[in-house]
Amino acid sequence: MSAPSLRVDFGKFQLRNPLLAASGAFGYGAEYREFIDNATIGGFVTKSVTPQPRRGNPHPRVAETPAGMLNSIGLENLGIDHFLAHEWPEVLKEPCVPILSVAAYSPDEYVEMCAKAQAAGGVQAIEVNLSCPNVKEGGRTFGADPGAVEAILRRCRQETDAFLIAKLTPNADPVAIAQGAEAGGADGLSLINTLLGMGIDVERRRPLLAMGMGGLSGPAVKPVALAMVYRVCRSTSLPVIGIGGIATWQDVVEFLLAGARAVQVGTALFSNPLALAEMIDGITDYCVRHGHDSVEELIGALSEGDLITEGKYEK
Amino acid sequence: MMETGRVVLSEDAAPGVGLLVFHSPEVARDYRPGSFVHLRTGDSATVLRRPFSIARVRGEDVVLLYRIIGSGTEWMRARRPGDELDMMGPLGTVFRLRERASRTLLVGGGLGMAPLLGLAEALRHAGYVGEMEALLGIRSQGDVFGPALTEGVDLEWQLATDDGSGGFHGNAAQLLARRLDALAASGEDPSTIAIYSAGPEPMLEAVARICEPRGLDLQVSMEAHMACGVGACRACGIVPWKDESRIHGRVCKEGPVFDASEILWDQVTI
Ligand SMILES: Cc1cc2nc3c(=O)[nH]c(=O)nc-3n(C[C@H](O)[C@H](O)[C@H](O)COP(=O)(O)OP(=O)(O)OC[C@H]3O[C@@H](n4cnc5c(N)ncnc54)[C@H](O)[C@@H]3O)c2cc1C
Ligand SMILES: Cc1cc2nc3c(=O)[nH]c(=O)nc-3n(C[C@H](O)[C@H](O)[C@H](O)COP(=O)(O)O)c2cc1C
Ligand code: FES
Repeated sequence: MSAPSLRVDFGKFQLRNPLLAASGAFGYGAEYREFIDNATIGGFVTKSVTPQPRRGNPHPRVAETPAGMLNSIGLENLGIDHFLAHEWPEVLKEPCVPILSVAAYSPDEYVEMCAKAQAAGGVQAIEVNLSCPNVKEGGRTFGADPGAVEAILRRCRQETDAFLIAKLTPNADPVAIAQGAEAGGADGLSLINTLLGMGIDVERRRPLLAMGMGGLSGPAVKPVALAMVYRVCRSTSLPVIGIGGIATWQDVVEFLLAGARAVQVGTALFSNPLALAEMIDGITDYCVRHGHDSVEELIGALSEGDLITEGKYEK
Repeated sequence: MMETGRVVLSEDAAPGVGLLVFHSPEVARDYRPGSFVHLRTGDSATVLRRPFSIARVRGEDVVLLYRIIGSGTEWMRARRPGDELDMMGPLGTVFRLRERASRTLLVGGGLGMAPLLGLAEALRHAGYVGEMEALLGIRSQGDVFGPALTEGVDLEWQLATDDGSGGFHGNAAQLLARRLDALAASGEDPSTIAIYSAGPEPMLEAVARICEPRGLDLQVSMEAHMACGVGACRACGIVPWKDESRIHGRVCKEGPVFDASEILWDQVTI
């Protein structure tokens, strides 16, 4: 038998394999050059870019927690204008699919960023990070409101022909949000972003992060992410990227079986920059052992048997 | 860049201070003074690595000096000869070895002085140092680290102790100011003096405020909580540049060694 194909269709893209690096863990694609060959991965998502430059949050911005970590980086970046003029041309040279991540603080800003990306040219896919507070609406996260998500996606859709991926926050009902995104015209979904979390140093009686709270990621969130991905995949026809605590090839297979067409890896890269390469080897072996010619055969291939239904397990 | 090291020596160098020596021809070869390793301090499930400056290199052996403060450094202390270490590195922007200095001042704060040991060796080796002086701020006389630390590095530390139990009563920055005043009084040209400092951030900031008005060439080695260690996550992006177009220097990438004159010290948030 020849080596199984790892290629997956993701909307209009055919990815080399289902492994992407997640936003915020992979800079603008070149930072891990000495550890990761981008010609071996499916793609990556840039650190989220914002309309204006942001200095980010005070330090410490990260802390370790059991099987996970908290972060409150504060979206430090030089703003979309600087990014498109200076970083984006370099991003485009990477030998895999680069996805531009945009984050904003009002619906108008999301729209403005999509228009700028369209005008810059070469932007094939945009991941809309919906986990920011809506400053005009008392700081409620856009991503927690299906109506707001639908409206943002609809307006972004008019500004760009790039493939639009809505990145969902787990701090809300992902099924409702996914439906909002689909109604607004999203081409794909990615989930989950980080879960709101906190840690306290009991000796100093101070939060571990300077900002008090932050986003939890890493293996600790994986079961939560997997359940959300599973539910969303069953409620939408859009292609889904599974994210959250993926650290081994078994984790990748779990997300594919749950219905994701691709996955993103973030936190795992920090302790193991070779994780993506190890996952590629692992899923190849898995396909061979299970007699699959293509990794596509794994997508949604959970043997449902007497699986309890949505309504029942929510009780 | 992903390297393994085999532990050669692991011992307490002083109360609460560990000395870890490991064999790694690759890390030893690529080491430059000021570079650090990003060490996995635990099994493969460990989520965040720990950054440590390389104190010095002896042949193919690499020396780390560390204060035992938590789970990662406790794990390091439990290593035994023959154990394997998993690390990324050496990483980071290193000390620029200032050529033709008439005088070199090394200013260390506590264990933060670790990278100054290898720096002193490299400067000597290159013949760049002129007169070399080493100033060390510690809490009290009893804190002087074991002889293993400075063995073979020909440095005579002038001590400053917070409690006045030994040497100068005060901190390393105050001792430096006094020394610089004496040099100025004797007519020494400040443009030929090179200063290198490593230690806690408040000390670095105090040293920078002393050096800046005197127009002295100062490089500092900074510390920050890190995740990736390679510039990808901005956990450590906390060193504000004077040059607005750059926002923050990343301690892991543009640092840990910075040219003090490029930093907006008022806005460092460590
Ligand atoms: C470039 C660089 C060089 C360093 N060189 C040395 C050295 O030569 N000797 C030495 O003793 N220490 C050094 N440190 C500090 C060292 O990284 C921390 O003491 C160590 O990470 C503590 O780990 P822990 O698990 O024992 O402590 P814990 O307090 O349990 O750690 C909890 C978390 O906080 C982080 N953390 C805590 N303190 C620091 C700190 N000061 N800097 C960065 N992260 C921190 C840890 O990495 C970990 O993620 C250096 C730090 C940096 C950034
Ligand atoms: C340090 C850090 C920074 C992040 N920054 C971003 C970001 O800028 N935009 C974004 O959409 N997600 C960001 N994330 C979230 C990740 O992309 C991912 O959704 C989340 O961490 C869960 O995956 P993981 O467990 O594999 O890290 C960040 C995560 C971490 C740990
Ligand atoms: S630790 Fe990730 S950018 Fe420095």
